[in-house]
Amino acid sequence: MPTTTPTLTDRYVATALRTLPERQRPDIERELRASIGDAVDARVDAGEAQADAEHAVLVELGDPDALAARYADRPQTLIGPATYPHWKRMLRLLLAIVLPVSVAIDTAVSLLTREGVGELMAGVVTTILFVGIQLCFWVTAVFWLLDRTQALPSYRWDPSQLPTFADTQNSSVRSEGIAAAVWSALLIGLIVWQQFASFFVEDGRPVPLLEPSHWTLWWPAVVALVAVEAAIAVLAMRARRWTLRLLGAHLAVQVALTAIGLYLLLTRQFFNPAFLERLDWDTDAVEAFDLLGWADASGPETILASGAILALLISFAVDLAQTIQRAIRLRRDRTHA
Amino acid sequence: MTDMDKASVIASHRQELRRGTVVVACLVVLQQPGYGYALLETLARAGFDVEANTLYPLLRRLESQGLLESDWNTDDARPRKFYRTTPEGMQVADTLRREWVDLSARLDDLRKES
Repeated sequence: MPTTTPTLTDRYVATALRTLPERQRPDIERELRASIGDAVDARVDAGEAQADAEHAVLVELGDPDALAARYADRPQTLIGPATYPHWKRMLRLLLAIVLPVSVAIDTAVSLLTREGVGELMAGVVTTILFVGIQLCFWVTAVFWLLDRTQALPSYRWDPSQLPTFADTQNSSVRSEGIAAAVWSALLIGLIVWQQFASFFVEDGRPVPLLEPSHWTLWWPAVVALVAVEAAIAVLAMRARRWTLRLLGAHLAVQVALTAIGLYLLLTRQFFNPAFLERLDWDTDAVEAFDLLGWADASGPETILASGAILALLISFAVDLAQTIQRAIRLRRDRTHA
Repeated sequence: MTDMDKASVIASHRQELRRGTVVVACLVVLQQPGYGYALLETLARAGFDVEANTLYPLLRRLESQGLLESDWNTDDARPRKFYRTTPEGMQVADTLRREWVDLSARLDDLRKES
């Protein structure tokens, strides 16, 4: 029983009791103290020191909050297995809808208010983080409540909810094919468009973003390669699966595109100097990010070039990982067939 | 799979299989009144590995279900809560034990068939 200084047992019992309903406490306390006392006595009788015995017994009983949860028969999960599938489906759905919409709105607002590229990127990152964290938190909070109050109707799964067989077999190849085709069309459109329309006009003629003299070789080559890439994805879509030959061709095109891009960027032939001169961004912060170390490069050139190099490298890495994954899957399917 | 993985797989299946038997063991042992720590010792000697932090809350739950009843014994220096299996608890214990024997027989049948 408590003396002037509380023992370990006193502290343990008090901690375990604090979350239990008031009327159960005296009885549980009495019983718990007796049980701890019995166990300590048994160890002392076996030759252990009193303090060691008490310590060992409490370690065996474990976390007092977990013990209290067992006494109270409380669930020890935030969202139990009955609610978990609902929570996961809802969170995925909301993230897939709300995040792209927020980013689109953010981008539109930035463009309308004519913010710089830096602010636009920072805004997008902030939006994704903020909206994503808020979504996760509130969805989880609501489903935690539903789980505790058992308000969800018991989930009856029905075979009619199954996706069609064709969808599960081909959906990824098909959606990837469509996405690749749309993406390639957009990219080609942008490359051509920037030659004839620009934010800047000089002597009544637009100032292109990309170095215009390269239309003799590099830019047509890039356009052709992008078109070939789209064609490969469409072929895979029509064949309903990737083959090793298609994957090899895809990889070759990717390597060529990345190599051309890096070569032009690193030799500073990528952007049109006339365009870069027109940019008057506030570039005080640039030096911190200056990885290229071009002594005579302007702030905008440094930002654009390092951003483009980074984007090229990342997209190549992602694409390479995806290609390897497809190849592994292909191989596995083949050995199984 | 390494030997350790195998051992942990077996251990988890064993635990799963034994989980419900602690309840039956408690109801059987407590035909003679007993208190928490003594029951823990009895079960351990009989080969039922149950943790104190599982057993003590379990006793209270069985009591709230009417399968056990309890009395405080204050004759000793240390007052202890003694539990005893109720008639209803005995019935439940018998049903569960029959189920256990039954399952064992059905497992034997399955083994003979295959």
